[in-house]
This record gives sequence, C-alpha cells and structure tokens, in this order.
Amino acid sequence: MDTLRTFYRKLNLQSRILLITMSILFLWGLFCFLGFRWVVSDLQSKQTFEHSIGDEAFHQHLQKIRPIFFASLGSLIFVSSVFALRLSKDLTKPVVRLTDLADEISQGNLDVDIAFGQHVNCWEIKHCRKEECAAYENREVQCWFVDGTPCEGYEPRFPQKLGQCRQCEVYQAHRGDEIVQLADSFKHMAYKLKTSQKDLKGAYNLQQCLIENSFDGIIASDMNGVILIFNRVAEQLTGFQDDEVVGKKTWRNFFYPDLLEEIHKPLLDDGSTVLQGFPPRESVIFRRDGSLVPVWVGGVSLTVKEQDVGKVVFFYDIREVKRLRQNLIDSERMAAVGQTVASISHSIKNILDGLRGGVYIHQHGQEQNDQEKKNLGWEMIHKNIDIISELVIDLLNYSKERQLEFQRYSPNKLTKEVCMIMERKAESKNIQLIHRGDDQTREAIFDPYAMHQCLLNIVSNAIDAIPPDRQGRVEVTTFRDEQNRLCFRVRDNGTGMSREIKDKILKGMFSTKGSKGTGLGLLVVQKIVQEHQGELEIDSKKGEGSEFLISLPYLASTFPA
Amino acid sequence: MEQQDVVGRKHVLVIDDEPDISSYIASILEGSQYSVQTANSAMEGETIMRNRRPDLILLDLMMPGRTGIQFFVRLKGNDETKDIPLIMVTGIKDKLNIDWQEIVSKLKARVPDGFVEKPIEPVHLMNVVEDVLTQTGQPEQRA
Repeated sequence: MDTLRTFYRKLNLQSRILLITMSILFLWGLFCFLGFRWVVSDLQSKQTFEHSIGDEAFHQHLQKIRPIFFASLGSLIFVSSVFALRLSKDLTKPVVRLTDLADEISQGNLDVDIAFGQHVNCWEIKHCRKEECAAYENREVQCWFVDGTPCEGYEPRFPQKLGQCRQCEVYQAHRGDEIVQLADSFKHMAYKLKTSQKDLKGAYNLQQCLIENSFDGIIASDMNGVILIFNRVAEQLTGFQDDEVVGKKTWRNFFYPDLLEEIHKPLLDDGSTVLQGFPPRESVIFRRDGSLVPVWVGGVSLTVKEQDVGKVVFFYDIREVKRLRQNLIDSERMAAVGQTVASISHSIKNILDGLRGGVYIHQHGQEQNDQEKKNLGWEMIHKNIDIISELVIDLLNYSKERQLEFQRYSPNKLTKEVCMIMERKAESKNIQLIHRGDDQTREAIFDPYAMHQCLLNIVSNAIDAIPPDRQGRVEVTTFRDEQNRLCFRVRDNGTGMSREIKDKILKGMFSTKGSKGTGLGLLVVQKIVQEHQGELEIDSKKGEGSEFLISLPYLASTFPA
Repeated sequence: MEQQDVVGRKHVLVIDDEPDISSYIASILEGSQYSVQTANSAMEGETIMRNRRPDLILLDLMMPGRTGIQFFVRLKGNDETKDIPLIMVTGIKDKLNIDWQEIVSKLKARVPDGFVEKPIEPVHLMNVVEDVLTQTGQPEQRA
C-alpha cells in the first residue's frame, strides 16, 4: 500500500488526473462489460427459459433483476464519486494549505512550516562534505535555491542554475508534483524574505546603534522640518526626551532659524557628488529650560535621487572646549605677564626717571631762575604722567577678567570712530588716515568696546611706526573675506618689522619703541581677538610697512543680541 | 644734544633712547660741572665718539635697534675704545639676568665699570660716576 502511495505521490498532477480518469473509465468499462456479459447470458438463458416458463414468467424475471441492475449501477456511481472525491481532495488539499500559508506570509509571519514533498539533503546524496558550501546542512531550503554551491559545471546562482539542477540526482530524489514545486518556490521566497528581513533588521539595528551611541548629537527631520531622529546626546544636551520630540517638534525648537536656512546652500560639488548644507561652525542649541548651550554644529540636506527627503544636523557640546580655551588664554596671558614683569618694571622705571628728571630740572630751573629749564622740567612731568596713565590702563585691560559684552554694532561705525579719534595724531605727523567701510555688512555681533580699544591700539601703533621723513599713509578697512569672516585691516607704510621682531611682538611684552612702549598694547589686542575666537595676522616687510588683519567669525544672529 | 664744553672738564657721553632720561642725567652731571653729550641710540653714540673720545660713557641697557649690550661688546672689543670707562644704567633685574662673566670671558675685558639702577637717584649717580673715574685712573673732578 505504501509503495502505491509513494508511487502516487511521485506522479505529477497531469498523471494523477489521467490516472483518476482512467480508473473511472476502467470501472465504467468493467461495469459495461459485466453488464453486457450478463445481458447476453441472460438472453441465451431467456430463449431456453421462454420455452420452459413462457413469456410472462420471463417478464417477471426481468422485473426481478431490474432493481439489482439499478442498485449495481447506483453503487458503481457512488463508489466512483467517492473515489473521485477522495482523489480530488488529494489534489486540492495541498493547494488549500498553500493558500493558507500564503495568507500567513502576507500577514508577515515568515516562520511558517512549508513542508511539502520529501526534503533531501544534497550532501548525503552526493556524499559531499564541503562544509564551506552554503547548502551544507542547510535544511531550510533545497540546494538549487542556494547561491554559490560549488557543484562542478553548474551556474553559481539561482535561478540560472535551475536548468542544470533539474538534471541532478538530488533534484530528482526530491522532485514531487507541481504542488511540491510550487511549495518549494514558496519556501524559497519565504526564506529569501526572512533573510532579507533579517539583513534589513541587522542594518537598521546597526544604524540605530550608531545614531544612539554617537558621541555627537544627531537630529534629523523630514522635508517639512518635523523631527524624526533625536539621539541620546541630543536628549542629554537639550533635556528633552526622544518621545517628546519625535513627530512633535521642529528645528525652530532647537536652533536659530537662519542657521538652518543655510542648509540649502551648496556645500560640495565635485562632479559626482552634490551636497547641500553648511560646514561645522559655532552656534547654540536651546535647552528645555530656555538656556543656551554652545555647540559646534554642521548640517546637511538629505536627498535621494535629487529629491529632498529631509535634513540632518550633527553637533557637539563645546562648553568644556570653551572653558579650556579660556583657561589657556588666561594662563598664556598670565604667563606672558609673569615673563615680562621685568619689561614692565623697566618701563615704569623709565617713567619714574622721567618724572624725577622733570622735577629735578624744574627745581634747578627755579633755583637758577632759568625759565627754559623750568618749562622743560614741567613738560617732562606732564608727558610722563600721560605715559604712566596709558600703561596703567593697558595693564588693567590686559589682566582683568572682563567678560565680553556682545551686541549688534556697525563695524563701519566702529572704524570711523577710531579714525576720528586718531585723526589729530595722524595730522600732527602729517600722515594721511584713510577709512574704507564695508557696504555689505550693516551690523554684526561683537563687543564694540573691546574692538574699539583693539583698533585704537593698532592704528596708534601704525601712526607711530611711520618715520617723520616719510609721506605717511594709514588705511583702515572693514570687509568680509571668502570664509565670511568679519575683517578689520590696518595697513601702514611705516618702518615695518623683520621676521624676528614680528615673531616676538605677540609672544610677550616686546616693543620696538624702546622705553616709549611696553608691548602691552598688542597683547591687549591679541587677548581681545582671541576672546572673540578670531585671528590676528601680521604681515610686515622691513622698510616697507606693516599690515595687521583681525578676522572674527561673522556672527549675524547666532548669538543672542 | 651737543653740550657746551669747557676746557678741563670731564667729558661724559650719555646714551639712552628716552630723551627725558638723557636730559635728567645730563642735568645732574652738568650740575657737577661735567661736560655732557647725549645720544638717543647706540649708533648715534658711536658717531659722537668718532668726533670726540669721551672720558666716561653712561649707557642704557635696553634700547631699540642696537641694544646696550651690543654697544658694550663693540666698545670693549675695540682696542681703541676698550679702556673708556662705562657705567650701565639699568634695572637690578637686567643686571642679574645678564651673564657678564660669559661676555667678559669672551672679550677678555672687564665687566662694566659701574652700574646705576633705575630709578636714578642724583646723589647715587654722582657717587658711582666719581668712583668709576677714580678707579679707572681718571682724575677726580669735583664741582
């Protein structure tokens, strides 16, 4: 019986239908044959019987066997129907099961058991022990669905390899009817879906881990600005939780709007890659309590096939960096002060000598009734009082811990004011003082008091650097450079400096003016520029003049006004 | 500033970049009947010396351009000028920071003949000037 069942299962659907049809026809044929045989034998017996029992008895006999005939016919139809039903169930049952499985898969359940036909293990049939083969001990799908099996002369990938696999003994051993083959395809499809889903889940988890465990804060939004990603660092920095933000808040809750407007500016275009965004810069992020945290932030527009899909910004907390930077500035400044106490004391001693000299000469003039000496002595006293006053102011400015007071101010107005103050000094030395403003920059954010002092020092130095025998010229220019920094440039045609002196003037209190200067003025300039996170560059040629360039990060509104 | 010379008076050259200090020193020395010339730089001092050899030089240590040390080294390295007595006008710190022994061993010459510390006291200045002139064999001059 089992042999018959195995034989039946190995038949394909066409053969089974043919078998069923043939069986029914055979039964019908058998019935007809037996019926014919019975009728013929009955007719033969009727002829003998008619002679013996007469016509009436014959009819009675016929009436008697008719129910038997119909009963036999009915039984035959019933048996055929049961047989056909049984066989058709055998055909439709796997189809129904497959339909159920398909429904399960379509609902997302890929862990369904699609066991149709006999599972064969290729490594057992082929006596292959290639453990590196992807099909080895793979009991989920048959080997012809597995890519990269090292079977000689076979295409490596499915479905190209299928034609050759169908000739293989492994395939032959497994081969079932069309339902089994359909189930195999189903099984393979589910397997592929499962592995793809697993790969996707793995990739998704990896990305989630990357985003969550990043040392940088990451906030991403859709194209409408609604936040979709808000990682752990972003939570810590802002004080908001992920679920309070995702899908509920936008960029405006965390950054100044004009920072994000820059996200659509071209950032990179090397022919193959076009990137829109803004390079990392200093700005602030808003906290839940309304306070601001300084951050280093860069942003990129996210595009897929030139279609905007969202925005992302990466940022990190720079409070510690700022603190360390301030400490460094302070310690450098204090070190410079410490190293150059001798320089200051020398200046002070010179001033004291000037004062003592003035008093001495004035007294002698008085004793000798010499008006010229009296005037000279008095002039010396006045001059040295002015010098010591300037020195004390410079020292205070350099050493005191004054916090910068950022505010909106016009850079042009600032340079104009400085030029107006220095105009008298320049005129007295017959020096042309030229002011060139920047039409593009109406206002910027900086400390106008500190920058005023800074520029006053530089312009004063520039005037002092011009020897009396030269047609002097000092230019004060404001502009924005290619990196969008706010620049103040002071250029003179004075004596200039050698490289050695240029290197010295910013390292400590060094003056080229001898006892007339302490070198403190430039240190004050450097301190103020550093506190603005700007740069001070000096370009000078001995005998030709110098150029002092202050470049500050251009802050239009990234700091609160 | 060329000072009026009087025959028989000691001639002193004061080199300091700060004119107030030069004037102050000159005023003190002139009060003691010294003939004084002042120079605002080492180069100017050298030029003056070419015209007239001074009996004494008062030199500021810290000056722009050629410093007092450079002037001292050139002066003591030159056979014609190495015997001119020289007083350094300086702060205590400057005096301590300079390795005079190294300079002296290189030059095979004496250390500066005297030091006057700033701020300058007229009495102290005159004492140092007179001591140096006495020690270096220059006849003392009293007002």
